[in-house]
Parts: sequence; structure tokens; C-alpha cells
Amino acid sequence: MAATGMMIIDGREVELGTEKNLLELIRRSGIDLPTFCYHSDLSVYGACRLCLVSVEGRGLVAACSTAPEQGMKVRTSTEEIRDIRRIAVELLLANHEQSCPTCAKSSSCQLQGLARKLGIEKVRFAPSHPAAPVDRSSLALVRDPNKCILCGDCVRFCAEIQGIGAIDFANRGSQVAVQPAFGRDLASGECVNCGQCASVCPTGAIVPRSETREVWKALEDTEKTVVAQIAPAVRVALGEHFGIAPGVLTTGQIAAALKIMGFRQVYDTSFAADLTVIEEAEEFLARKTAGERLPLFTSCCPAWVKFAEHHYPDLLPNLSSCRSPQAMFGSLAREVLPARLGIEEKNLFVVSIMPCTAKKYEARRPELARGGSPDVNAVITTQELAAMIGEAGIRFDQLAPESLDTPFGFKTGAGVIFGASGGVSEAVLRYAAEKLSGQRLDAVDFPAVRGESGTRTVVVRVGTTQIRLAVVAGLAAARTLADKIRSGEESYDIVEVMACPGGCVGGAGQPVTRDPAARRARAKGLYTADKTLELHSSQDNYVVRECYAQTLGAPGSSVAHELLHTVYQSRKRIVDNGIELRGQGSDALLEVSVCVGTSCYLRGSQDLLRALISRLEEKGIAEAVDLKATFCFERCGRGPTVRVGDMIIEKCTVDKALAAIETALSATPALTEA
Amino acid sequence: MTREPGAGKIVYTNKARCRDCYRCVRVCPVKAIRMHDDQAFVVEERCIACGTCIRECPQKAKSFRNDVEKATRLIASGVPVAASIAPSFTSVYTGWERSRVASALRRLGFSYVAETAVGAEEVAQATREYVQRGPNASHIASACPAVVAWIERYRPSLSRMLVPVASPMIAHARMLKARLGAEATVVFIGPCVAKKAEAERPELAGTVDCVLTFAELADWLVRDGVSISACEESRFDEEPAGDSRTFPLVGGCLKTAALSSDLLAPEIIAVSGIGELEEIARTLETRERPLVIEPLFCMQGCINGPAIAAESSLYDRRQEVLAWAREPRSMAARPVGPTVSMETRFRAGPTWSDAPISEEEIAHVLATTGKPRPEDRLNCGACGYASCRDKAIAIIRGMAETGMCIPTMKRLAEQRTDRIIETSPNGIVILDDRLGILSMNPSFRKFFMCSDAVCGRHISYLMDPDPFEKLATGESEKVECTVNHDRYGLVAHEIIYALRDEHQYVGIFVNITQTEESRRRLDSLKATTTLQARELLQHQIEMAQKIAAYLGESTAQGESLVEKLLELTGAENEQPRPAARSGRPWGTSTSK
Repeated sequence: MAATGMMIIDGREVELGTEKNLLELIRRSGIDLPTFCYHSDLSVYGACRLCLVSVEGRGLVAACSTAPEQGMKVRTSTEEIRDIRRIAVELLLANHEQSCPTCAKSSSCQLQGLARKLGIEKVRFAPSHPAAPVDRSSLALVRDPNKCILCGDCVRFCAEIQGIGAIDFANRGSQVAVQPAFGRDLASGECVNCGQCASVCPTGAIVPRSETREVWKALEDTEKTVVAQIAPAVRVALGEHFGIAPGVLTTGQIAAALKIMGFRQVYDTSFAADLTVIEEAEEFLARKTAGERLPLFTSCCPAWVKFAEHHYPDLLPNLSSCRSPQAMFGSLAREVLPARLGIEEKNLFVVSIMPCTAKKYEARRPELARGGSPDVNAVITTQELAAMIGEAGIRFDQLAPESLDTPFGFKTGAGVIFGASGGVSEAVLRYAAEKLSGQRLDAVDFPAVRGESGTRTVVVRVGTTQIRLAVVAGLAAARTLADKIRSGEESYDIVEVMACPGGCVGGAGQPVTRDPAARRARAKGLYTADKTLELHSSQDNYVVRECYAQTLGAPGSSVAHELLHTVYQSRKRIVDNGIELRGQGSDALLEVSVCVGTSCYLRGSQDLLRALISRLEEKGIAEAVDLKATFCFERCGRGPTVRVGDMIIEKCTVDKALAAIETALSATPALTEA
Repeated sequence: MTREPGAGKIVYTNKARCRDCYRCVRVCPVKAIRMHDDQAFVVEERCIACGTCIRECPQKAKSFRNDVEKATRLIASGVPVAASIAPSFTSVYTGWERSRVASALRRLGFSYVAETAVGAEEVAQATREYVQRGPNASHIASACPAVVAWIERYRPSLSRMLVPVASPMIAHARMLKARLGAEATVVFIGPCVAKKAEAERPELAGTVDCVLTFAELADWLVRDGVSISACEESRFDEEPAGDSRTFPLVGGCLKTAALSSDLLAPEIIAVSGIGELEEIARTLETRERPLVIEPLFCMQGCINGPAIAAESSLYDRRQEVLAWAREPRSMAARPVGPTVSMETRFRAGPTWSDAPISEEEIAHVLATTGKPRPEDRLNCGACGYASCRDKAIAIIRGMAETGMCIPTMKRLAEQRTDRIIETSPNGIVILDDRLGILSMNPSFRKFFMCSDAVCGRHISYLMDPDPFEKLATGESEKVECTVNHDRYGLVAHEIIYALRDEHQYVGIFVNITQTEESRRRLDSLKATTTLQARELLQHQIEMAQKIAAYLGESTAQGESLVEKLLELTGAENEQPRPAARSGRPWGTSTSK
């Protein structure tokens, strides 16, 4: 609700409005208050003290955490305030690693900007902290604690918007630091690599891991044939690095720049998105007809996939088994391109240009490789591509557009809107509606699924069929929705989840912007592209049809499954390897695992394990068994739990376990002989 | 922009720019331009909207009606709007732009974008069938609306030869509406102004809802901030299967119809431009043996349309069209829709009637414009009319004005100036840059007792060249002096100035001999008086010496008196300067 009345800011009358705090109001009045820790999407933290203002009768207050009031008299820039701000920034700089020219955030760093703005010419304080090691464990992100200024933006984004809390404040007083749980590295935690921590970080304390060196190296390598796939969201954002407005399509210019840099072929991830739509919609229709494993969760967003693996392993069967468009492209490229381009498969180097940091992780998933080498060789973000274009000295804004290459450069509008939240749903609807009604769809737009807000639900009727959709952007919202689905409170047919606000257009690999309108403009650019293409439904993509005819067979065929689908694994337990007690972990042995988690331990699993070992040795079958102590089968109330082969025995005793082992061994003579 | 009421509905004049040059009248193949108060107006009923005047007007004073507003209103109304774009778009949008035109049109709000060439394909087919059904008659293909209008109104006897098949624009619009439904609207975009008129023919009304030119499309894109470089590559919703993308070229229709594309085929002729059209019309009017004609009004065809807004040369444009025709077709393009009627019909004869004009009226006009005799009539065509007689008829019909005849106006103007010079009492001479005599008037000849035979001689032949030399050396711009030409008994006040642009010098001689003569008499009178005074003085001095002893005081007073008298006359005593005597024949004296 808008407050009515006036207040005085620096001697000028300002009308009160909808702003909840002084900071926003002062910014509206035309004064740019500095801050590190205030972020309009996040909770108010009030830690950096840079937005201090002087309120008559109250003294100095933090503008971010003070509500505007009628008649308030505020001064924003007194000698005292300027001194405090300068000292605050100076103190931050004292312990901040000052490697500015080589920092990834250089020139877009807010600390750097503020130091210059506040006129700090010299840091008078010596550093008090010893240098901490840089965490390079993650495939997506690099965390340098020496650049952290403890504003907490990353912590709050991770907890509040993504509902994860992969990083948090640890320790007290001067020892406070932001880090993953137990001081471990980022890769071993439940970080889903969405990278939003990096996009809100005002300094270079968390940045996307750059792969531009690898790409340059491949481009230099005369043996290699380097091809690129461009994700939809990149084309409406890359221009921002070169003074072009957000949302302006630069597909042709990107193609031209990549060709100049030495890419042999430039393709479109939107093509693979068309393929995804067909596979995913077919999968959905099959499940819908059978009435099983609904809702179907989309699987295009690798951050969501990893999130689900960590937090909702029980819902994994509901995830579409479709690979993401990036992965589909990678596997299809390996299948088709070597022959087409007349090269050896090992010399094909596939580079993905993505708005996303989680794609870097996805590309290294072992499921998405053939013969041990990944389908996609390198993933660079929009930011990294901009850096490469800059490095090559290309005047991007002056490039004449060039064409994408055939065959994988051809896409429909459905493949392009994938980059905006709601786009995957709309694309699937365009396919499903036509398929269900048996008629050609003339009005292909489903505006109800478009938008920005965290969760959108919509019911679409196609003939007699009713499709209930939920579209979610942000993993905290996904968690809320998944909980309701799990509890049966709500039910849907399709749930689209994107980890980043607004979908991929708001990905962490995109140009960093503080302007929420930029994200909207990017999404609008994608919908404009859809409108201006001649085809809007993936099933009309004749190159995709040709691909099915020549390579994949029918949608959902075994070849399609092998190349275009994948499997997921529960990551609920972070440490998944059991403790080897007997045997070599060889496949030939019968696997027996005894849970030694807290609940089973209290129910005597330790004694059971000890007794089992001696009984096996007595019976002389110890060598046939690969015995492990493991953690949790998720049946804590009915422990102790023992797994023999594929069978899990609850409330297990030594006798029960032995009986099961003997039965299993006798059922497989090969094992007994061993 | 002002338009004369009732005239130039499609093509009109911007009054503020029109500068009375008659270029439009000259180029207008049907003389549909009316001159009134030195302004050119397009007479709608006579105009075939070929757009020649728009292309030719050096002041850019001719425009065609802008229909962008109409098109945007169609799109805003919410009905499906299809764009039908003529194949010559490839001569405006080349290279990377070409593959983004479909996207740009969709950005403007078109829900369906198709190539008019799809309609042309059907037109060619229907034309061939028709022509083959009547092998013993002459046929004129009817795709070009300017040709159709020209034949209907100005060569009505040929109207029956027009192939009664709709133009590609009309045929395609019918196809689009059959495919997209009755509520759908069609906007045609092409290089042609005559298409705007064609769409408004009563029998075709409502088929094409709006006709835009490439120039209007370019404006619209700018206005809506659509940059082609920021458009995705995409294809048209409909693309032609055959050769119809060559329709905008001379012979394109014949090629698509597989009639003949051999330029030297004897009975099948492709013509373009009004010159060739008039020639072939003359042939058809008199000839017995059948011919098949593919006419395009604009020279070299639609790629030279008046609203094409391209800078490139015609031959480059031709190459671009041919390159596009060779491009592989989109696999997404929709197959041809339901069949539609290809019929159309034509009129014969003008839509206006001219009152008969008698020979007396013509003779009268010719007489009043100074051309009573045939030998007075230059028939130069500078006014825009082929003959003085045609122009006289145009004057009677209110299309032309008497003042449009440039030779007559020139002669009249020259006559007036000549009279002044010839009758002037002042002598006038014109010299070239080397001071040779170019010409002179009768007064000059009288003053200096010479004839035209001195033309070509240096001015020094007649007089002291000093004042002219001063001009020639650039010392001064203008010399004004009074000179006594003793030799000719002439005292002249002279004004001599340079015509710097022409590198000529003009001398004007005002005869003041009479005035000089009376002054001389006065001077001589004064001189006599002074002489007498001096004699008196001398006499008195002598007397004084004699009687000095007696009259000393009185003598001194007398001397002082005489001196005063001398002083008084002395100021008037200055004589005209004696002429220099340096062996030169002329004796002159000058005073400023």
C-alpha cells in the first residue's frame, strides 16, 4: 500500500510512494545511495552500512532498514556520512585481495566502483587475515574467499530464492566467513551450480569458472573441428556487453563473430530444443494416457535436476528422462556430424554457449558421454563469449549478420522460447495440443504460461483432455510446489522448473545487470523471435523430422532413448560409498550392505555386522560375499537394515541375513563356485 | 502538402516544391499533368499511376499516396493480415538482409508472409492456357497494371488483346483469402505505384486491402524501430515452386509460362518502357499476323519501379532477382492452397470525354502565342507536348498555359531588351576580355563614326583604352569619367564596368558635348574678363609710377582692390585639360 505524505531528502520535498524503505525512496528521488548488501529480491540485511543516512532527530540510520515516514528530514551526504563510508570501504579493501586487473569481475566490480566513487586513493590499513585457499573444486564456479566482503547476498540468494543454503556464514567475530557446510568445498556439497551467488556477488568472490582457454586452444588446434551451439537466451543478452539494448536479437552477429574466431560450424541449441519438445511431449502423452508418473517434471534445467536428486529422490521417476537440449545436441552432434563434416569423431570439439553455469556441470555428467569422453567438450557462458569477442578485437556492434549452419541451425519458435520461464511448457503444449486434437493448431500462443512470477498454474483444455500445468522459476518455489505435490495437496500434469528468475534469460552466465527490466526485455526478445520465425511448433521442424527419419527412428524409439534420454541418481546421501569390509568390490561377488547409521546402530547393527562376519567365515562363504558398512536405506524406523543383493531386509537379525545370503548364493551357482 | 481538389488521388504534387520546370509534363507518357499558375497538377482520370513523374521530378515534388497508416490500422484491428511481397524485393534487400525480410514483416505484425510469386505461378499457367487456346489472335499479357490502364484509355483498340487473367497481386490475394479465411486481409508490397490504382478498380475492390511500396515499407520499418540486422533469419510462409520469381524482369512471365524466353523468337516479344510500348502498339494496330506480347511499363521491368527505393544499378538488381530465383525453396513453405478464379476483365476507351475542338480555335491559340505561320512552330517539345499544335489543344483543354513555350518566351524577352538597347540615346559598347569590340548600339556607332566593321578590333582603334585597361587589370570594378574626344567632337560622360562572369566589359557613353560647349563659353568669358582686369592693372601701375609722387596712397589701395578681383575670378579659371599629344590619332582630354 502506498504511503501518503511528503518527506524531505537533502532539502527537497519528496512524495512518499510504495517504497518500503528509505533506500528505495532516496534512489527514486535521484540519489544513488551506495550499498553492497541490499538486493530488492532478497531480505533486508543491513550489514554493509554504506547506505547510512542522517535522519533529523534520530541520527545515522541504515536507509535499507528504515521505513519512510511522513515529515522525515533526511540528509544523504554529510561530511560524517562520507567519512564513515570511506572508512568502511577502506577497511573492506584492507583484507580484500587486490588483484583487480586480473579479476574476472574487474570493471563490473561494485567494490572497485565504490572505491573510485568515494575518492579512496590509498588504503591506510594493513591486511589482518592470512590468505585463504581458493576453492576451484566446482565445475561451474570459482570461490575466492579473499575477495569476500561478507555482504551476504550470495547466502541469502541461495537460501531465500533457491531454498538450498549451500553456503552460509561460519565462525564468529573477525573470523566470520562465507563457506559451504563443514568448511568443505563447493563441489562436494548440495550446490546445484545455478551460479546466482556469482551474479549477485558485488565483487569477484564467486565467479563462473571460465573455459575460454580450452576453447581458444581447440580453435588453434588444426586437428580439431570446432562447432558451436548457441542457447536461445544468449542471443538476446550478449549485445549488452557491447552497448546493445537487452532483448535485441543478435543471432546473426554471434554467428559472424564465431566464424571470425575460427568456429567451423555454428548451430542452434533451439534445434535440439525442438527435439526435446517432441521427445518430452511424447513421454508426457504416454504417461498421461497411462495415468502414471504424473506430474511430469521437466528436465532441461541442470540445476533443478541436481536439486531434485538431492532433495526429492522419490520424485526422480517423475522427471522427464529427456536429456536437456544442450545434451541432446551434444550426443546428436557426435552421432551425425563426423560423417557430415568428413572428420574423425575424436576431432569433433563441441562448444556450448550458454546463459548458465550449471550447464558446465551438466556437460561433465558421466551419463552424457560416450566412450568416457563428454559429448560437449566445453561450455562457455554469455559473459565468456563476450570476453572472447573482446579478446579477438571484434567490433561486435558493427558486424554484418551471418547465417547459422545447416542442419542444426534450423529451429522453430518453440525451440527459441525455451530460454524464458514458461517457454518449455508452451512448446510442449503446442505439440501436445495438436497431437491430442488431431488438428492443426493455428493459434499457437499460450500467454497464460508466460510471465515472471515465481509460480504460475494454468489449466489448458484440448478437446476432452485437460492439462494442468505449473510453471516455476526459482528452486525455493519449486520446493514449495514439490512438497504440495508430494503431500497430495496439489496435482498437475506437467511441472516446468527453471532454477533462475525468469528462466534461462536470467541465468548466471548472462551479462550481470541490476535492472529487472533487462530480464523482461530479454524474454520479450525471445517471444519476438518466435513470432518472426516461419514455424512455431517443434513438430513442423523439417530438419528434426529428417533427423528422425535418418538417425533416430521414431520419437521414443530405442535409438532415440540411447541418444536423447538419460537417468538420474539420488544424491540424498552426500557420501554414497560404503566402507569396504570384505571382498574387493568385484562384480562377481554378492553385495551385502549393513546400515551403520545412527538409528540402525542404536538397534544393534554394529553387533549384527560383527556376528555376520564371524558366521560367514565359519561357513566358509566369506569370500563369496562383498560386505560393506553403509549409510541409510531410508528405513530408519524399521532397522537394523541389511541389503543382500537387490533385497532389503528390515528388522534384520544374523539368522535372517545368513538365510538370505545362502538363498542368494544358491540361486546363482556362479557365485558359489567363486 | 497540398493537393488540388479532385486531382491526383494516387500521384500528386507537393506545391511547395514544384518549380515550374515542365519535366513531369515532358516525361508523362499520357500527358496527365495540368499546369496551372505555374504549378503541375496530376489529373486523376487521365493518370495511369505509372509513377514516371515521381521518378523523374528533380525537385522530388511528386509523391504517391502513403498507405502505411492504413496498413497499421489493419494490423491493429486484430484480423489476420497477410503480406504478399513482390519478388523484386530482392533488388532492395540484398545479401544477409534478404533472409531476414520475412522476419521483419512478422515484426511489423503480419501474421502470414508470402511471396506474390506464388500467385504469379498460377497467372503464368492461366496465361499460357489462354494463349494456347487462341493461337490465331494477338495476346498481350496483363500482369502490369500500368500497361493495362494505358491500353484501356489510350490504345482502346488493343484492349481486346489483353489476356483476361488477373495480375499476380490479385491472383495471390484471392489465393491468400481462400486459404486464410474471408476475414483475413491482404497487404501487397511492391515496387509499383500503379498497383495502388489497380487495387481500387471497382471490379477488384476488396481483393487487396492495402498496397504499399518498398519505399513505404522502409519508412514503416524505421518508424517501428525494426532493424533488419536484429531479425532472425526465416523463410516465407509461401514460396513459389517454379520460375515466377523472375516476373519482375523483362521476359519473366513468358519464361514462367514456358512460352518462350528466347529473345529472338519471332512471334513472342517482351517489351518494356513507354518507347517500346508505343512502338509495339503501332505494330499491333496495323498488323495481321498474331503476336504474343509481354509488356512491362517500366524500362527493364519492375526492378525499375518508381517506388523501389534502391541505389543499385538496374543490371545489379537484375542479377539479384535471378540469384533469388535460383535459391532453393523453403521446406517449410506451405503447399498451394485452394484453387481460385483467375478471371478479370478490362475496359476500352477513356473514362472522360473531351469536347471537340475546331481548327479555328487551334489557329487562334497558335496566333496568340506568336505562331500563326507553320514556320513559326518549332515543335521542339520543351513544353512537354510533341508539337505546337498538341500544346495549343492542351491550352484549349485547360491542361497547359500559354507561357509554357520556352522559345516564344525567350524571343519575347530578347525582343524587349533589344529594343531598349537599340533605342538608347547613349552609346553602348561591349568588349571581350582582351578589349576587342564585341558589339555596339546605333548611338555608339554615331558617336564614334564607325560601323559594325570595327567589331573584333581593339578598343584603342577608337579611343584611349586607359579606362578599360583599369578594369581589365582588376584595378577597379567600375570607372566613371568625363572624356573629351576631340577627334569626334564629343564630350562624353562615361560609365565603364566589368561583367566578371562573362569576362566582358561594358561602356556606356552619355553625350554631354552640348553642356561642355556652353561651359566653355562661360570659361572664355571669364578668361576675357580676367585679361581685361590684368590690362587695367598694368595700366594703373604705369599711371601710378608716373604720378607716384602724388598719389602714393591712392595707388596702393587700387592695387589691393584689383588683387581681390583677380582672386575672385581665378577660382573659375581652370581650363579643360589639353589632350595628350603623343603622336596618337585621337585627341582627348579627361576630367574626373
